[in-house]
Amino acid sequence: MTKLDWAVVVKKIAVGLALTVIPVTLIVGSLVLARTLLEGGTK
Amino acid sequence: MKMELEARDRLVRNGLLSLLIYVLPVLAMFALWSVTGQKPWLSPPEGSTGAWYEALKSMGANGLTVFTLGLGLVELTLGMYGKRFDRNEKTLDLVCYIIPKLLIRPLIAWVSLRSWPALFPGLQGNFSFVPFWWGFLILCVADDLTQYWYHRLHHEIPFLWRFHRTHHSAPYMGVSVTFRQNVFYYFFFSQTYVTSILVYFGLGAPAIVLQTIKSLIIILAHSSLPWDRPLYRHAVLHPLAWILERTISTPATHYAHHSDSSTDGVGYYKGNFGNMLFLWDVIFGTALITRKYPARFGITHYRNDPWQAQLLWPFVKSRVEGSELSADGPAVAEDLPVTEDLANVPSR
Repeated sequence: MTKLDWAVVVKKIAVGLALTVIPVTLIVGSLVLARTLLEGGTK
Repeated sequence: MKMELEARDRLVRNGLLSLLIYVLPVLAMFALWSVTGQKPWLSPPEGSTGAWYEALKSMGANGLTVFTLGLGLVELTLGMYGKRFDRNEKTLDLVCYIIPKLLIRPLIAWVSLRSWPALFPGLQGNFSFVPFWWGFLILCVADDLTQYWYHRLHHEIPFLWRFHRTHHSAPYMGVSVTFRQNVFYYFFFSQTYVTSILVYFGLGAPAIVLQTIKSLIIILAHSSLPWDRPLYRHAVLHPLAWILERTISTPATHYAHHSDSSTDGVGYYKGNFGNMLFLWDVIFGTALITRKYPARFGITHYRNDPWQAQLLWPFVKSRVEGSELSADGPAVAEDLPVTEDLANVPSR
């Protein structure tokens, strides 16, 4: 494994991480936010 | 250069649209509850959803393995892998089927079991109030849209291509191609972790059903038995074909993605990225639907790189001169014109 290979692996992991964090943040965030709004709005 | 900028712009536009699509099921669910005044988190739904759920759960646990091996055996018996299914290809396909089951999946499970409670302490089962079918819809989008993007980026970003090349080097279609992946591509499958986190949050039951249905669709889209052919032959079935080919991956659309050409009007490796759902390709303009099957599969410049290099690149390099997997090979090689000696004669 050359330095260039490691760089490619690291960049690949970064892309994979972004593709994990973005959907999870959006879905979990919207679930929490919507529930909070619904609870607050109907009190 | 102009094309590169256009491609980049399209990626950004499609990416932004995806952000909205990810949250749509959640917004729709809460919009409905807002209108009806429901608050399911005050009385979470029961766990089980009936006999069909238990059947699919059982199918996912053992049935898929039996189905996969049975279908593979039929393909082998009928000689559907063609003449280029040599020892190197057989070994690669076999190792790619076994290693994830024995090593990678247990490792992912271990990482998940250790990581999610540490990253999200006290939140286990926090969304178990989400009803089954809403959970299923949320997961469909979360899992399959993420896999669409993971897959598309490995085709469109040059430095990622070699991690996915192993899946496309097969000069044939078949059940075994489904599992033919470089270990890095498999281990860093983003949708696996997205779904795993949502399971930790309480969407376990819909995840089991989704994974079973998704696996069936993907295996059948790769199989050399084109189940969709009757849909195109009989006019009475055309409306059903129209719906199906725009909704899920079919052999016709997925074979096109595995073609060695994107210029013959049938093959389209530059698109048709959808895995379970083809809908993403329709939405993002990456779809080609022809109802025809390509004449050849694979990569024109593929010269049987050793299975070890295809499995473990970049840890192991190919000895094939000029190969994308060799030490001094290009990240993305140019397509070669197809000549008689290169053409793999399809068995169909």
